[in-house]
Amino acid sequence: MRGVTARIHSLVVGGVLLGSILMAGPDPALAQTSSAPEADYWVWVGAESDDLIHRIRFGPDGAVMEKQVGVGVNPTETEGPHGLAVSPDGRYLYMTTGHGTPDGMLWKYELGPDTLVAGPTRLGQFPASLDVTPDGLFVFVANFNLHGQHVPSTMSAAYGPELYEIEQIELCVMPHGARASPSGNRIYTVCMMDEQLVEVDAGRFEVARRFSVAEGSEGPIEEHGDHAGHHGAHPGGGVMSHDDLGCSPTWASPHPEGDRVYVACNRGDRILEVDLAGWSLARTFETGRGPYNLEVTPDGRLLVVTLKQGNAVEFIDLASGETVGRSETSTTVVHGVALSPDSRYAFVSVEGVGQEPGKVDIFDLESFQRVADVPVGRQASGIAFWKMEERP
Amino acid sequence: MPIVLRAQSSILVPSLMILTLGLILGVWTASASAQDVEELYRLVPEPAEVVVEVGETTPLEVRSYDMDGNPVELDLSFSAPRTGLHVRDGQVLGRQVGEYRIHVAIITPDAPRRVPAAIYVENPPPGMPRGPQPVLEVPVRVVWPAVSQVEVDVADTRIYEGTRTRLRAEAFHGDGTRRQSPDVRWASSDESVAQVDRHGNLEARSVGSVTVTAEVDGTRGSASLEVAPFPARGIELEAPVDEARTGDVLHFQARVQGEDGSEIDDLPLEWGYIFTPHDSVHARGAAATIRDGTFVAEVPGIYTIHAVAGALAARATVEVHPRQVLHRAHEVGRGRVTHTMSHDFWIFEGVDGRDYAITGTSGGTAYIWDVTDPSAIEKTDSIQVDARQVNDVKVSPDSRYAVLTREGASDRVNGAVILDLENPRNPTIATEFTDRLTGGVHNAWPMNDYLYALSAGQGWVIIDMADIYNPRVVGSYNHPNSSVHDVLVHDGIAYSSEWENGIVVVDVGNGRWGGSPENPVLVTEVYFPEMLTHTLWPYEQESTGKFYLFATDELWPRVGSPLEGYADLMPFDPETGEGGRPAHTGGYVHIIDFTDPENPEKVARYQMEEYGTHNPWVEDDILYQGYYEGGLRVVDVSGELKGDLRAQGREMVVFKPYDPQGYIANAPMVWGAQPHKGHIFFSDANSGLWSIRIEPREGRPVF
Repeated sequence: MRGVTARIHSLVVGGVLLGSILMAGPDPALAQTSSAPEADYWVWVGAESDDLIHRIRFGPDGAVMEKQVGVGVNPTETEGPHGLAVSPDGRYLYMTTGHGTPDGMLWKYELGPDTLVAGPTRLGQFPASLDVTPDGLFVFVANFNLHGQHVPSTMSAAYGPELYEIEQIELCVMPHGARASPSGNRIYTVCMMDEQLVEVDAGRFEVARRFSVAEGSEGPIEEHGDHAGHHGAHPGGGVMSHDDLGCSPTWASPHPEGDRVYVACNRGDRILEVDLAGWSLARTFETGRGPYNLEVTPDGRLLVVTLKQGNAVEFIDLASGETVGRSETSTTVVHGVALSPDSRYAFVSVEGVGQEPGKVDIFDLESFQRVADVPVGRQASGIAFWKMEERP
Repeated sequence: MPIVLRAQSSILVPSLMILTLGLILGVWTASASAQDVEELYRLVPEPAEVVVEVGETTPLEVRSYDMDGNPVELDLSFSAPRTGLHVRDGQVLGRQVGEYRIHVAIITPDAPRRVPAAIYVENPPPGMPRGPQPVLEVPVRVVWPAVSQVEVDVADTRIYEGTRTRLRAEAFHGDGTRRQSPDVRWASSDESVAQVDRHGNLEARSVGSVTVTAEVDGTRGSASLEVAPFPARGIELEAPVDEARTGDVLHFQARVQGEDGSEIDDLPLEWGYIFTPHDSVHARGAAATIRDGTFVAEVPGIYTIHAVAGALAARATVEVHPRQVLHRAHEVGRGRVTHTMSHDFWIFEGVDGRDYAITGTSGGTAYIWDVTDPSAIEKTDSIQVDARQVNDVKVSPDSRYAVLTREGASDRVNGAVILDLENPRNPTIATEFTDRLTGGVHNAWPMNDYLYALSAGQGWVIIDMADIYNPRVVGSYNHPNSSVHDVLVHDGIAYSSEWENGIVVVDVGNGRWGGSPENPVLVTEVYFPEMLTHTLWPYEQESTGKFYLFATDELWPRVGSPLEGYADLMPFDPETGEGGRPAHTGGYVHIIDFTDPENPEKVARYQMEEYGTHNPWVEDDILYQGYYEGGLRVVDVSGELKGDLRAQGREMVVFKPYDPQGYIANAPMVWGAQPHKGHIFFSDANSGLWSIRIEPREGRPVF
C-alpha cells in the first residue's frame, strides 16, 4: 500500500497541511513544566510501510506535519524508506529503501524543493541506517540484511555528491546503525547477531577496530582473518553462542567531543560507554526495557535513548551517569531519535503496530516530558533533524 | 591545521614544479580566503588521466604540496564507483568498460570539524571549476583488454555460386572473456570469388577458393571457403494451406532439385513475401513475418511467399483471413473493496463443495468470499494479520490450506501466515511461519506437500506442509546474484521470476535433473533482451505438444516512453483536490518456447504499448492477463505462437473495471485473473473482486 491513512491524506494540499488535526500543541498537563519553544525546528521522518517521508515542523505554534513525499519506484510493492540523514549543510536529504530486488537503494533529495536529485543507487541487502560525514562527501549505510539465514553483511560507503557506491565493507551479521565521529574519520556501527561494536575507517573504507559488547567480555577483539567478523567473536578470539551473550546491540553513537561512543544493548537493557582512546569499557548504564537507538545532545550533557520494548524514551545525564527522566511515548514500538542543535528537544519516531499511524513524539530536554506528537505514515522509522530557525 | 605525516601517496616533487607552483601562489591565497579554507594543498596525480584495461591494474600516484610548493605528506582518500573500478594501495583495478573519475580527498586528523575545501585544482577536468575544491578529480578510462583471438563462425565451408550466407565473428581477450559487440571489419582474399559486406553477408560470385578475414582491433581471424558451382535447376514451393487466419503459423517447405533431379538440402534460401491487402484493409508496412520458411501474418490479405536461391525463385500463395475471435463479456458480480487497495487473490472449491475466494489487501487484511453464485458474492470472513500488506494469496491444490504472504510486520520478522481451510467459510490461522522468512515474503506457491516461499529477494525456501500446524523447512534455493520476485512450481520444476535476470529453472522433484525438495538442482537460466520478469505461467499446449512460458514484466515508472504518466496511487482527496490519478505502468508478455529446456526460444509477445502487465493465467489455450490499467485482457493463444499476438487479432475480450467510488475512482488496475467453473474472476486494485462471464461467440457481431 502506498497511502497513509485517509485522515492524513485529507489534510494535505499541495504538500502543505491546511487542517489542524495533525497539529499538536503542548499538552496542557505538561505545560506547567515545559516552556513553549521560541524557535522553529524541522525534522524529516520516514514511514516504512507507506513509502512516504514526512516533514515535521515544531515551534511556538505546536507541531505539524507540513509535507509528505512519496518515495520509491513501484507503488504496488513496499520499498520501505528506513534510514534518513541530512547533509551537514542542510541542502540534501539522503534516504535508504530496504526492499529492492533484492538489494536496497540509496536516494538523494534536495531539500526545499524536496526533489529527487540523485539515485536510486543500488547498495546491499536491506540498507538501513546511514550517516553523512561532516564534509558532506561520504555516506555510510549499514546493510542490515534481516533476510533469511544469518550471513555476514556489509556497510556501503558512497560518494555523496554523485551518489555512487565506493565499497561494500564486510562487517558481520546484521550490522545496524551508522554514526560518524565528529571528525568524520570514523564510522560506528554494531553487529546485532555478533555482539560487536565496529569502528570503520571512513577514509580507507575498511574496518579499523572491533569491540566485543558481549556481557562480561567487553573489550577489544583481535582480528583473526575472517573470523573476527563472525558469530560471537570476543576478546582473544573464539566463538560464543548469540543466546549467551546478552547484549544484542542495536545502535552506536559517538559523543560530540569524539572521545567516547555509546552502544545500546537492546536485549541487555543497558548502555555501554566505550572509551575510544583506550578502546575499553568506561561505564555501563542500566536502562528501561529494550534500548534501541540513542544520541548524545550536541552540548554533550544528555544521552537520549529510545526504549523499543519499553515504549518510552530515557534521558541519562552523562556527567553523573544517572537516569534523569523517562517518558512514555504516544504509541508503541519506539524507533529513532533526532536532537535539535540547541540541545532543547528530542524528536522520536514511533512505529505503531498494524494499521496504526506512526508518530513523531517531541520531548523537552529540560522537563524530559513529551510536549507534542504528530501522526505520520505507518511504521515511522528513520528520523533526521533538518534545520532550526529563530523567531524574530 | 597540523599536517599528519602518514603519507600513502606523497613523493618528492621536482624542483622545477616547485617554481611553477610558486608563480600562481597569489591566486591560491585569494581563493583560499574567499572560501574560508583553513589550509590549502595542491595534489598532482600521476598520470593525470588513468587508462586501465578490464581486469588489469595500473599505478596511480598523487603527490601533495603545500601552497609554497613544498612537498608534504597527507593522508588521502580515493573514491570511485565500485562497479567500474577499484582503487587501493596506489593501484587502480579496471572492472567495467567506461569513463569514470576518481575522487581524491584529504583525510584530516581527528578533530571536531573538517575543512570544506582543501585542494587547489589547477587544471580541472571538464565540469570541475578551477580553484579550491574539497576533492581532486582524476579522469579514468577503463578499456577492453586487447583482443587476442578472433573466430569466424561458418556454418558450412562449402557455399554455392550465386547464393548468400551470413558470417559471424567472435573476439576473445587473453583471459578468455568475449568482447561484447565487437566492431568487425570483414575482408575477402578474392572478391571475384566472394564478397563480404560490413554486416558479414557473404555473396558467392564465382567458383573458387576464398579466405574471409574478420579483424577486431588489429587482430584477425579467418576461414577458408570453397565456392562450388550452383547445383540446382529448380525450386518447388508449396503452401501448407491455401487459406489461414491471422496469427496462424505456417511452415513453408521448399524443395531444391539438383541437375540430376536429386534433392539438395544444403542450399541456402532467402525468404520474402509480397502482400496484397484486402481492399478494406489499410495495412502496415510489415504485415507478416517470415523466417526460414516459417510465416505468420498479422493482417488479412493475400500473401505470395518467395523462396530464392541464386537465380532461382519459387512462389506460393496463401490467403489470410481475420482471426475473428472476438467475444462479448458482461459483469456478473462484485466483491467490492474500495477503502484500500486489493492485491492478489485465489479462487478454489472448498472441502465443503462450495466455491470461495480469498483476497489480500494493502491494509494487512485478507477477505474470505463465498463465490458459489458469482452473481451474489458474499463476504464471509476477514483475517487481520500483523502486516502492512497481505501481498500474495494462494491455496493448495487440495484446498487444505492457504498461504498469505506478509510484509511490513511490526516486529519485522514477517514470514507467511498459513490458514487452515477445514472450514473454508471461516478459516483460522494454523501458524505464522517465519523460519528463514524474516525479510518479508512477497510471493509463495503452495503444493499439497510443500510450500515454496520467497525469502525477500534472495531466494526461496521449501517447507514441508504435511502438518500445517508444524511446517518445517526442508530445502532452499539461492541462485547466484538472485533477484527473485516470484516462484511457481509445475511438474516438479520451479520457475522463479528474476526481474532483469529473466527466469531461473530448478528441478525440485521432476527427476530428469535429479532434483528434489531437499536437493533442488539448477536446470537452466532463461533470459532474453527486454525481460523484466515479474511472474510467469508455464503452459503445456496439447494441440502442438509445445511447452510455453508466459513471462510477464512489471515496469514502474514508464520513464523513456512517450507516455510517462503518473506512478502514484493516492486516492482523491476532496478537501485538497490532490490524488485520484490513475497510475501508468509498462511491460509486456514474453512468450518463450520451452519445449526443449536446453534451447529455449522467445517466439512471441503480447504487448499493449500504453499499459503494463501483471499476473497471467493460461488455461485451455486462453491467456487471462491482468494488464493493470489496461484491464483484463483475454487472448486466444491456440496453436503455435509466433510474432505479435495483439497485432494478429488474437484478443478475445478486454474488460476494464470502472468504479466511480473506487479507491481511485474509475481507474482500472487489474492485478490478475483466474477462470473457475465457467466464470472469470479477477482482482482489481482499486475496486476489489469481480466476476465476469464471456459469452459464446455467437453473441457478438464481428466486423
